[in-house]
Amino acid sequence: MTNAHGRADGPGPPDRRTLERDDGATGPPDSRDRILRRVTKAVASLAHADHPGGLRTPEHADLREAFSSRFAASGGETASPDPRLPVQEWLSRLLEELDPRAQGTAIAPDMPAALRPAAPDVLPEVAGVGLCLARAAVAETGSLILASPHRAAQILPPVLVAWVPAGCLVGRLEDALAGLKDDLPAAVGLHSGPSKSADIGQTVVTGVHGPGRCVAILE
Amino acid sequence: MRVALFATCLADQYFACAAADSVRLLRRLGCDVSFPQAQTCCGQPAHTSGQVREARRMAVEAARVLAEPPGCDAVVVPSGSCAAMMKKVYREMASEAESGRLLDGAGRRARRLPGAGARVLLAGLADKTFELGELLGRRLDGARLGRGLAGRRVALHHGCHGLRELGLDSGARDLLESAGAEVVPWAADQECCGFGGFFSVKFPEVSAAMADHKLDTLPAVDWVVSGDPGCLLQLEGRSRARGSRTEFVHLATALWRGVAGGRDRDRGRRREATDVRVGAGRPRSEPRGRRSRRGRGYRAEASRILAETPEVREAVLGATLSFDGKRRRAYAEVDSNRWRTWAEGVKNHVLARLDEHLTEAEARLTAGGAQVHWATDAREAREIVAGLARKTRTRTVVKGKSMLSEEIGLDAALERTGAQVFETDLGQYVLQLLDEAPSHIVGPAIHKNLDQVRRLFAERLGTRPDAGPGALAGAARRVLRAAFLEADMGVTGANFVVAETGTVALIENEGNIRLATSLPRVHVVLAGIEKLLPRMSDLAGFLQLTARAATGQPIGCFVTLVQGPERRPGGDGPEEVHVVFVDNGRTAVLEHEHAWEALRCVRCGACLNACPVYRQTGGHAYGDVYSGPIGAVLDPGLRGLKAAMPLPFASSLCGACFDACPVRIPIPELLVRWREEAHAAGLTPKSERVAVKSMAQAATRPSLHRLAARAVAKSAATRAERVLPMVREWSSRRAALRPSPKSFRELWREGIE
Repeated sequence: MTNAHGRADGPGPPDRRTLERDDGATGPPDSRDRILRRVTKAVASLAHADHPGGLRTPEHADLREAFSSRFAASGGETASPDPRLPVQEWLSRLLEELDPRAQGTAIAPDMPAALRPAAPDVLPEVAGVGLCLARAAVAETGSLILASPHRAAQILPPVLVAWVPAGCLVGRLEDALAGLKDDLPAAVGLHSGPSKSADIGQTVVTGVHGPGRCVAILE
Repeated sequence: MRVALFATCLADQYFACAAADSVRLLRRLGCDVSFPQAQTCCGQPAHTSGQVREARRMAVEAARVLAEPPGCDAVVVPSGSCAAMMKKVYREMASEAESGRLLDGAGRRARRLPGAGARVLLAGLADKTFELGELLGRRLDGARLGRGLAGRRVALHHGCHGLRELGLDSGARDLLESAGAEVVPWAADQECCGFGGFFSVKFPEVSAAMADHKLDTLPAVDWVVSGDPGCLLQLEGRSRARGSRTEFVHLATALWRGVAGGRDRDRGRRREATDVRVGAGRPRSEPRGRRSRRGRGYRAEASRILAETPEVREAVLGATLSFDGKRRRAYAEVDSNRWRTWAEGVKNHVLARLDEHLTEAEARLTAGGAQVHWATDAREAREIVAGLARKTRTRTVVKGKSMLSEEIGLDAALERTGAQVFETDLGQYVLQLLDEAPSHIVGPAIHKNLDQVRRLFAERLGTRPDAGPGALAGAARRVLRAAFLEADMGVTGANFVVAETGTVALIENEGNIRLATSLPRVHVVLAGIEKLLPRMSDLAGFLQLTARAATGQPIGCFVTLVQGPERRPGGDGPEEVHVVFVDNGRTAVLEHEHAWEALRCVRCGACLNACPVYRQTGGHAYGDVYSGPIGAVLDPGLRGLKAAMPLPFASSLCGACFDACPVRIPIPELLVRWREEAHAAGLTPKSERVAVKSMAQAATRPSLHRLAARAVAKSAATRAERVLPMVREWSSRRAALRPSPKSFRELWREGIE
C-alpha cells in the first residue's frame, strides 16, 4: 500500500551514503551520531525531571478470584483440575471437549511429562488446541505470561490452553514483570483473553488471528 | 456583597437581556451591582487566535478598568469563556516572568503602570472573577431565588471553558433544579457546540456539523439553557437554519424568568428582544470558497467529506463515541488522574535524558543479539528496511500496524524490492485492498462501514454479499494465515522500548503481531526515538494506561515483549531482530520550546476519539499521517509549520483532548502556541490579523469600541454580509445574526428595573 498522504521526500534513487557496515548494521554511518548529537543539544534546555517511582496500583486480596473475574471479563475461561481424577485424564477430557472436530492437540515440547495428556500431539499449524505452560498469571490485568520458546503452540491453534502452576499467580503486573527481569527470554507473550477485533463495522469478532478461545488452568 | 459586572462584548450586543437579567438576579440576592463603563473586551478572541500581544494589551486594559470600582468584592461575568480567560489566562499572564514582556504592546494608559503594577492588577482580577452561575451557586445561595421554574423541561449545554478550565460541572444544573426546572438528560451536553470564536467562521462547515450533532441528540425540551453567549449564538443560529423553533436561553434569563414569572417576559420581549436575536432566514446551502489559498487543504477536504460522503461522518461518529465512552469508563475504574500524572512524569524524565536512554537501549538490544540501526529521515529508514529485505532474500513480508511505517511510506519501498507485502491488522488489510491511508491511529478503517467491507470482500475474496463481520474476518484470516506461514520478514512498530532491558513492547488485540514476531525468520522493528521508557517496571503502568486510553481495556489482549532473536533450542522465533530508531523530525520537535511535550504521545488515539472536530470528518481531512488534535500539534513540528497549515487552527479549543490524554499533553495550549507562531511568520490570512489588531485597538478606546461593536452587530443584520467575510461565513451555515434592539450599555444607562 502506498501512503496516500506521502511526505515531501518521495522515493528517489538509492542513497550512495547507505553503506553496509562491519557490524552488519546498515544506514549512513554518521546517522547515529548526528541524531544523538542533536538530541543531546535539544535536551540541554529541558529541565531535569526525576523519575516519579513506581505507580503503586492496588493489591488484590484473593488472587484466584481476581484473576478469574478479570480474565472472564475479557472473554477468557478459567478451569481447575478435578481432584477426583488423575491430572492427565482430566486434561485429556478437557482437551477433547475443546476440540470438537478432533484435530488434535499441539503440545508445547516443554510441558512436563506429568501434564502430557494421552491426546495425539500434532503440529500447531493443524491442531485444534494448543497446550502450553505459563510462567505466571497476573490478577490485576487477567494476563497469562507465556515465556516458553515454543511460541507456535501458543498462537496458531484456534484454542489455547495454558497451565498455570501452583504458586505462580501474581497480584500486580509490575511485580510479574519484575520477576521476569533478571531472566528475560528472547520473547514473552502476555495473553489476556481471546484474539478479537472490531475493525469491520465496529462489531467485535473473536479469533481473528490468534486463538479465539483461551482457557487458563489454575493448578 | 459589592459586585462589578463585566458584561462581555457578545452579551452587550447580542444578549443584552442576559446581562440585564444578571443584574436583576444579583440585586435580588442582595448585591450592590456596578458596571464600569469603560469596559470593552477580555481579549479572549485575540488569545485563542494566537495573537498574544493583542491579547495582553486587552487583558491589561480590562484589569485596569475593572480595578476602578473601589471596594468591590467580586467581578461577575455572564460567560464561561470570558470568565475562564480572566481567571486562568490572566493569571498565567501575571506569572510571566518578565514584566517587559507583559507590557509589550500594552495600551497607552496601561503603559504608565510599572510592570509589577500590571501583574498585581491581572492577578487581583483573576482572584476575584466569577462566572455568573458559579457566584450565584457558591457564594450567594441561589436557592433563595424560589421555585418559579417548576414544570419547565430544560436541556443544559455546558460551555467548554466553564466546564473544563473552571471545573464548573454541576453549578448551573443545581441552580436550575433548585428553581424547580427538570434538567433533561442530554447525551451530548458536555460536547463542544462548534463555536470556538474564529473557528466558527474559519471552518463553518465543520463547525455546523458539530452543532448538528448536538441538535440531533437534543431531547424534547422547553428551553436549551447555557451560561455561554457564544454557544447560544451558534446553537440557535444552526437550529434556526434547520427550521427549528427551539428556544435557546441564557442561564441568567432562565433563572430570572423563574423569579419574575410571565410578567417579565412581555417586557423583555419588547425592549430586550430575548428571542429574536437570530434571524429566521434560511442560510445559503452552498459553502463559499475562500479567497485565500492558505487553509484550502483542510477546509476543502473537510467540506467535501461532509457534503459528499455522509457515511464517513456517521461511521466515525459512531466509532469515536463508542471508543470515548469505553475510555471514560476505564478511566473511572482506576485513579486515572494519578496514573496520568505519573505517566507524564516518567515520559518527562525520559525526554530530559533521551540521549542517555537511547544509548542504554542500544547497548542492551545489542547485548541481546538484536541489530540497531539509525535513520535521520524517512528515506534513510526506507532504505534500511528495503536493504534488509534484499539482504535476507525476503519474498513475503507480514506487517503489524505501525504509524511510523505510514509516516515513512515503507510499503511501496518494500514492494520495489520485489517482496509481497501484507498488512495483517484487519482494518489495515481492508485499507490495503482499497489503497487508502488509515484515518485513525488505533482503528485505521473506522471511516468504513460494514456494507463497504462486504462489497470489497465479495469482490476480492469471494465472500457472500450478505456475509457478517465474523465471516468477513474469517476470509481475511485464511488469506493472512497463509501469508504468515510463508513470510520471511515481519515488520512492526514499537509501542515502547525499555532502555534498562532492551525490550521492545507491542500491544495488540488480534494476535497478528505475536504471529509476525514469531513465525518469520527476520523481525524488523520501526521505533521513533521518543518511544523509550527507562525501566521494565514502567511498562506495567504504561501497558495498562495505554490500553485504557485507547480502547477502554485493562490491557491489550496480546502484549509481545521482544528482547532479541530466538536462540533457545527448538524455539520458534526470528533468527534476526533489527531495531530501526527513526528521527524524521522528532529532534526538531524536541528542540522546540513548547512542542517537545507532544513527544510524550503514546499513540493511543484517545484525543481523536474525544475530539468533536475530528468526529465530523475522520482523519483524512487533515491530510497527514497523524490527524486529530495530536496531529495538529505534532505535524507542524515534524514537517514544518508552513506545510501543516491550517491544522493548528482546526480546533475549537474545547479541551476534551487534554482530559483524555493519558500523558497530559497540553494540546489546546500547544495549538495556541502554533497559532502564535503562524501569525508571527505571516502564515495566516492578512484579514484575520487585521481584524484582531483592530479589535485590540478599539478595546483600549471605549468609545471607539462601542461604535465599532454596534456597527458590526448592526451590519450583520443587513446586506453588509457582502463586505464582511466573517459575517458571510457565519451566515453560510447559520441563520443571520440579529443584535439586541438596545445594547446592554444603553439599557444600563436607561436604568434596569
